[in-house]
Amino acid sequence: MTSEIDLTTRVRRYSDLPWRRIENEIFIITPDDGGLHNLNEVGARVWELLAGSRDVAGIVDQLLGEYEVERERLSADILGLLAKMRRADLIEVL
Amino acid sequence: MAAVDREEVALFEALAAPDPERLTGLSGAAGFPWLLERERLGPLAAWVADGKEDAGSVGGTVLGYADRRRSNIADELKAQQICAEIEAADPGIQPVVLKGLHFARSFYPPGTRPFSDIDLFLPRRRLPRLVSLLKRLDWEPLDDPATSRRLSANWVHLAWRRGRNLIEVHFDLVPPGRYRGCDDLWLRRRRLELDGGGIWTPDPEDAALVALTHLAKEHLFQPHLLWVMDIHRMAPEVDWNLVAVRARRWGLERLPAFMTTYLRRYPSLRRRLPPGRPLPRTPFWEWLLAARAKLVQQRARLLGLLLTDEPRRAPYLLRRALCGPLPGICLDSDSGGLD
Repeated sequence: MTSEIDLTTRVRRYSDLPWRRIENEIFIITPDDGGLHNLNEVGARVWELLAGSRDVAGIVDQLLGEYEVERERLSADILGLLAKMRRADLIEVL
Repeated sequence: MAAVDREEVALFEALAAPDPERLTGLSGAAGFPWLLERERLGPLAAWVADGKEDAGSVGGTVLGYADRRRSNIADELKAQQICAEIEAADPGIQPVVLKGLHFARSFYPPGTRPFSDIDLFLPRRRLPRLVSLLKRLDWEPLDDPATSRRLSANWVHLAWRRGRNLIEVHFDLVPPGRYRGCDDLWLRRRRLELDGGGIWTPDPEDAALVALTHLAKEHLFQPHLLWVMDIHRMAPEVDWNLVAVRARRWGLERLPAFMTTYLRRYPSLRRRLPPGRPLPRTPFWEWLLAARAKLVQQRARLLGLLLTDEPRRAPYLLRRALCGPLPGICLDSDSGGLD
């Protein structure tokens, strides 16, 4: 069983996944199942931040400077998003 | 010269500009939805409409294609992933991606250039290596279920299928014996870096020559605006004098000269293409090019034959008749490939 992602977890995206941005969205394909994954504006920003390894708290801090939102709510949203991305094999936990 | 109808020109010009207002003006015509679908330009029209403040005024037909952009993106990414898989299995093989994926990623806004298969190019001598690799990756030859088959005089590509995906591996642009070959295209290949990988592509002049040949051979008489749009979008990057030089080297000199003359019937292309050289206005040519909708395949084959340079096919066919099958490529990789 894989461990939960929390604010101290270091994550990064798989660098070999083909992806493309259209306006504010990002589309990513996973080779194993051919699945097409779609990230909205905030998700797309998170995807950009995942280009290098960083901890979740660092991602939250970065986004707090870009969006007007409460830290608690943002943290919960980002943790939820990263869990989904991990289940879809878009990111790896380091 | 082949008829170019007014509705086609109007649609092409609205999208080439791109001009959302002109597109809006056209969208009310009765034949517009059918034309947009036939020419596979709906996703590009949706992108053009998206640039308009009151995009809704363009009408449901165009806006309905916004979702098609999404499925086109999926096709692009899937094709990119297949190319990456081939590269990972054999980094040295480096097939060049022709047409669809290359054009979609190089010359069009995201998701606006549809394509249905992956076109790869490799010189004949490298084919056995790719054949062996595709088999290893569970691709199955589409043309012939047997493992061994010589390439006939008329083949220019091999088709492979895996699930719903198709690959066409090209090794010539037109059937051998009629021109001198284009293996140097592979030597000039360029790397196009993409997010999550990259692909090998022809340089701009080779890409233009491939597009012109494809248009002349397959699509001059059929729905063809998508391929005309390919030429339009790549044209600014192309040195057309160099295209003429390479066409001469390949034995296809007449082809770009004729095609650029034809394409200059579209006002936007008149500004981007050289004058070309019109073919003689004999009754035969006028018959051949008079109508695009009748005897499409026969006309296309005749045109392809006429646009290649002097008939090199005669000695080829003579040798074939006297000596049996010509050296070809054996698809059975166990036999060592070239025979």
